Amino acid sequence: MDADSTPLKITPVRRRNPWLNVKLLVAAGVVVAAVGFLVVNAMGSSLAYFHTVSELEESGRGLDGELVRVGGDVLAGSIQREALSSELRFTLTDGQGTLPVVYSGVIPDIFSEEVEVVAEGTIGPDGTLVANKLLTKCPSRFEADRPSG
Amino acid sequence: MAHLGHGALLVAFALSLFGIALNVIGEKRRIPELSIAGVRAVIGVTVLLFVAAVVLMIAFITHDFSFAYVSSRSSTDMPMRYVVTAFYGGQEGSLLLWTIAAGVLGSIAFARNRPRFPRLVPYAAATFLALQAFMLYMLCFVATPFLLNPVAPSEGRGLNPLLRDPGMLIHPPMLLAGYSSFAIPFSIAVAALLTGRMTTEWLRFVRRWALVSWAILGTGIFLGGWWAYHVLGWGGYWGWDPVENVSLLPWLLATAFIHSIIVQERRGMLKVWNIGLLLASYVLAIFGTFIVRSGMLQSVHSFAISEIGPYFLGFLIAIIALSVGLIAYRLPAMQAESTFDSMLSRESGFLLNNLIFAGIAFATFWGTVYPLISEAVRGTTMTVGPPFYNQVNGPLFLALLILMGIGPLLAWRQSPLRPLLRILRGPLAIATVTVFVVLLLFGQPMAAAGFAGAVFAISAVAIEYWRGAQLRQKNAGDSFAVAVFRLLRREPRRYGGYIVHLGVAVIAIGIVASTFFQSERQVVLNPGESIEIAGYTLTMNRLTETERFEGQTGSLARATPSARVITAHIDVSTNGSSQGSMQAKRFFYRGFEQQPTTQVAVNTVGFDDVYVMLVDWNDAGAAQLHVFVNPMVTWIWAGGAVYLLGMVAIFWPAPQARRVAVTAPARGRQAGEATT
Repeated sequence: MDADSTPLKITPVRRRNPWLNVKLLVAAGVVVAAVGFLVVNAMGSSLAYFHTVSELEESGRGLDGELVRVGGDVLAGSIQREALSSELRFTLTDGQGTLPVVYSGVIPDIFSEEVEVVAEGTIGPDGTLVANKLLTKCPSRFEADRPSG
Repeated sequence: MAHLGHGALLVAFALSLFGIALNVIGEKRRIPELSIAGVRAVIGVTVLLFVAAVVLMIAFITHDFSFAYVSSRSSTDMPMRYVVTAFYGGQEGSLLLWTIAAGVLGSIAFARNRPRFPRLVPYAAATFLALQAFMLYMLCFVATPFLLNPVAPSEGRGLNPLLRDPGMLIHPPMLLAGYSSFAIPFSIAVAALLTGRMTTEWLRFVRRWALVSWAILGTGIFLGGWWAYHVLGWGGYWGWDPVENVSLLPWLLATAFIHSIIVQERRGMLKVWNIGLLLASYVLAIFGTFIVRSGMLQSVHSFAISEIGPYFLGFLIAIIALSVGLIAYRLPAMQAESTFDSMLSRESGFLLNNLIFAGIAFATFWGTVYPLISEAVRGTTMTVGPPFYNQVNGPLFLALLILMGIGPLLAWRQSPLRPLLRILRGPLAIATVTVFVVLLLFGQPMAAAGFAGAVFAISAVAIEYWRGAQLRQKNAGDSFAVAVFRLLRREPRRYGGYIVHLGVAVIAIGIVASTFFQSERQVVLNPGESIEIAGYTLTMNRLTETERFEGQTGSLARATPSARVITAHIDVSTNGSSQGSMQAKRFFYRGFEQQPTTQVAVNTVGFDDVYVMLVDWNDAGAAQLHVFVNPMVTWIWAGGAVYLLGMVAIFWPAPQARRVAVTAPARGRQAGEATT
């Protein structure tokens, strides 16, 4: 027998505290406000602009050291990487502009030429994106982009 | 063969439309035969879906590359288990699986409950068939798995290597089944709103099926974490990726629902809120599918932009409009039967629980769609990363843990403060000690709070079991073990639910430990060299290159390797004593040479996972390794097992006859949960 599932037979209580609803609303409001505060607070610290390469050039963003995320394709022949070095250099392109990127960290399995990637980091003084994160779009999940055959 | 499969889908589509008519006319004209036939239509559609699935499965097993879907996902050199999983390795197959999973669950739900709810089930079945009809339309006309290649290629392309993992056998079907199963509580809710039959029995019916969906989806999410940890190689199990987030959203709302529905059952309150949660769970399940498949968000999982996006958007808008419209229509009938009596009561505890779950869902939703909102409002795309979710949801989950420690101990209507504080003395003392111990040992206030919250929640479970068992020991003279067993049999939802609470608290301990105390190093090691990390010594033994043969026996492909494998052999020791050897591997599959896949080496020593990923190597045998020591991740898997155990307890069928005999005289209640 499930106690929770059985409706209690309660004689209606009419002597209600009129302040109770107000108090409940205030309590609920406090919870909602807390959630709102957490959201606003966290937005400030983890927001990043997302641009394509040419958008970044036009907007001139990222020059003051703010965090940017840039999406584009890896330019064919641009990957420079010495064996066992964790530093990776390549050029991002969106067909119009190009952006040199330097990245150190784990290189995703799928990273290779002409693959669409997102690099996150800051623009260095020489105009290179110093990325601390490199995301690849999973090829497909697997819907392959290559022509079928 | 393809024609048989496609034909079965076309007939299923027609039958689902016909079934809608049967159900609606049968109910309107009060012709029971028609509504019985209407439920059979649900079953018939499911059978036809199975026919289509069997055709597709046979095509996979026999390597029939005349099917475009088969040739683009399978190949003869894959082991049979991956040939089978390739079935849902793409959009069309996963839609088919989605529809079948919903069909099976819907058939069970409506066939079993039609005799009990003769007026309600016809509308629920009609709603359900309409949802199935949409999916079938997609399968027949937009994303059909039965397209033929103009010329059948001699060899298929093979499954994406990332999916060649045992976790893929079970994680996607569970997740898809979880998503799709929300169609059932949604249909039951829509039927209740249409007919106005929102009785106590209906509540049990809908709650039961919401619980089923919640359990399946939760398991699917959990298995996804397991897969990510063991395959993706970034040392974690959850990355707040948009696709992960959207799978969490319906689960969060369903979790809120299965709590707050208890308030409606006991006190007849929160009716609009509850039905809203239920409808929103399904809307979010569809939203998740839409987001994943439309290519609108940047994600590791991004599907190629597909044709089905606009259809899903339309479907999404339709079900939102239906939900909002129906709730507005029935608003007058959903008056609360009672009101809050006190600030401190079980009801208010559940209300707080719901607000926090809704808060987590909102924050997660907001972060996930923020790129779209900022694009629309400000013209620039802005994204938020994992720190956002950790900063917002971390404290909210902590609040839930604390509430888990208090809520079950609160009395209905009015819970006097003094007895509550008396019973909380023990848990509070334990939590306080935990805080100080963790602070002294590690100096991490956030981790201390997390551990203390989990311990606090576990103590409430212990108290509830102890109190219940004490009572039984006194009244029935049972031993403690027998008493606990009887509690679980008598009130499976309550005491099974506490086991789920226990599982969640154990998971929380694992998450806190592995989040705050993870060690990470990226190193280059020559053979014979070693590094120290978190007390472990890892010595590079040697690097090997081998070939892997995994085609099916008897096939030609058996003779050619399907992958080249690079393996780094690493010895692990602590304080000079060996803890075994690890093999971190990279696979280069035939046809996917540009996309090597990782096999992470995980060696569990005590509570720590030594986790090694092979990043790069050279001809001299030197290897670049990414090494993590992840403490207590095993607790997450163990907590998941406890969660499943709680599920088993909740769904374990009750011996009906005996239950009536035992329980009926006790308090004169109605016998057992009638609905399944």
